[in-house]
Amino acid sequence: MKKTGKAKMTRFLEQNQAPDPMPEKIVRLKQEIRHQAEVLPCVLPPEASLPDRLLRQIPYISLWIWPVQLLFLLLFATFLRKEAITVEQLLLLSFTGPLLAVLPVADIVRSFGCNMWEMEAACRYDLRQITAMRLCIIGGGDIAVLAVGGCLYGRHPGGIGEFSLYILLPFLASSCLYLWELNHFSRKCNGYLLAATGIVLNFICFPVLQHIYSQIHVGNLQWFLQLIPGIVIVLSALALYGAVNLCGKQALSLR
Amino acid sequence: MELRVEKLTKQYGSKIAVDQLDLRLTRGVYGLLGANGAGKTTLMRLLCDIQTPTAGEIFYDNQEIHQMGEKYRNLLGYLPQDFGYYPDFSAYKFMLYMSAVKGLSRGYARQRSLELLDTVGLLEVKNKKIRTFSGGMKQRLGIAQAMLNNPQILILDEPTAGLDPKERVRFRNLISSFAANKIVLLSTHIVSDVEYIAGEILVMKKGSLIHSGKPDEIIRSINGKVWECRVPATAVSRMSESFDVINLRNEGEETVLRLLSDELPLPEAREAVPNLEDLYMYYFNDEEEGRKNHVGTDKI
Repeated sequence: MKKTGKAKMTRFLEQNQAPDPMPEKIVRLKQEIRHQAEVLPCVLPPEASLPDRLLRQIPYISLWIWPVQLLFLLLFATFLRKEAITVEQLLLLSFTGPLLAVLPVADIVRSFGCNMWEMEAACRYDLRQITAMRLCIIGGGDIAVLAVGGCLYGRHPGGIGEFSLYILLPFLASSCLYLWELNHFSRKCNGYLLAATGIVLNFICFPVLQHIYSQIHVGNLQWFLQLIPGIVIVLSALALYGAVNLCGKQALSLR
Repeated sequence: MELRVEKLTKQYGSKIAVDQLDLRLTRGVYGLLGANGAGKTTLMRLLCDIQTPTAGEIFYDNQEIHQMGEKYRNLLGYLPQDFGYYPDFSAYKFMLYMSAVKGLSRGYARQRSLELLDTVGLLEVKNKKIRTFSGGMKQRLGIAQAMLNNPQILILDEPTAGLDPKERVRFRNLISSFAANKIVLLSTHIVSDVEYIAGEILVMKKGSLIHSGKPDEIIRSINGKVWECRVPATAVSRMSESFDVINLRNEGEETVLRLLSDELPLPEAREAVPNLEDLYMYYFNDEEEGRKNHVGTDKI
């Protein structure tokens, strides 16, 4: 802008002062600012999708869980890659069921064990949702490990049946038992109780499975093999029911 | 913005923790005073929708809070009285975890976590494991997590427990600067904390709200009931049997007593200007000490 033009403009503005804002306009503006300040401060995304919620929870799952799952995966890969599996190896693998099943529930009791439940319960995703997310993430990991094991064992003749009997059934049965404990003892259920249950389960399972194995190999208990798919379905449904019940109960137990 | 409580009752078996309580909270800082077992924590849990009332309802802007669900919890910041941490978490990881369960976006969570850790003086130790923190540091971290989502309703149960005087001053300033256009409800036994920052004091006793009002108004209710008198040291025991002694100070052979009495306790006693601590003792001394007329005599 030329100097003369600028001076002219300045003179014009001096002669024509801006009017004072009307009081009601000031009030309205202040109200609007206050309203905006109330609406905007929480930078909360409207509703995150389930995968996004799960992904965001993964970094906060107990760190020891992943190496344990990886260890089981390696165990499956080592034993089931071979063409022939000995009875000892098979029975050793049967221990993985109760141990894998304890992982999700162990992380859930952490909220009460570490006394975090009250803080978590007052968050956007309350304890019920947090429990469900943890069950999904760690349970998903367990299922992935079992799926790999199932695929590897499935290559053997009669492998799926044996895998279901010696690994999947102990996993499902112990899942049901752990979830039952969590549902019934709720806040009193801690890692020690779960560990004790796991140990007792293994003490019971080992001789029972050994007996079943020997009976099947002499040609008995064929009817039992036919029942396995049905038992797997029933136990899966029970475990699912226990998990759903637990998610609701986690919140209700506080109330 | 209004949080309204109507005929709220919470019963545990035969024990009534909150009894037919009516309350209306609008923008401002509210100090909740009450002895142990008065029902403060239960009331706070009910306000946070962590517990379900036996009877009565809580409304936020005329909507029932339990029905609002996530929408209500989005507006909420809560610091419980007794809380712990996942021991393997660092302060920063803890803040990010709380951000995740509060549904905050990643970028905002990182920025806000660092900002709040700085505000509560924990930025330099943000990567240290929480299990290495002192009680005061843990408490500050708890306060920081409550503010993560910039809550419109901030509920703090005994927030100054474990804080040293300097930290308490910092906390008071933090709350005062944060409280603009928000509802802040805090309970504490340290009456000076609420005296300085609370615009309104709520006094709870046996599950009911027995008093509410501005600090000076509420203190005025015990005008003429707080006295100071100078007695020989040998008379202290007798005085404390007859009156509620709030404070005593030895001055040579004599002791200056500050005591509660509806009438002039001694001809030479002079009326003292009451403060919030006197008010607290006036209402709760029998509950705190477990006896009717022996307040403060444990020092004797």
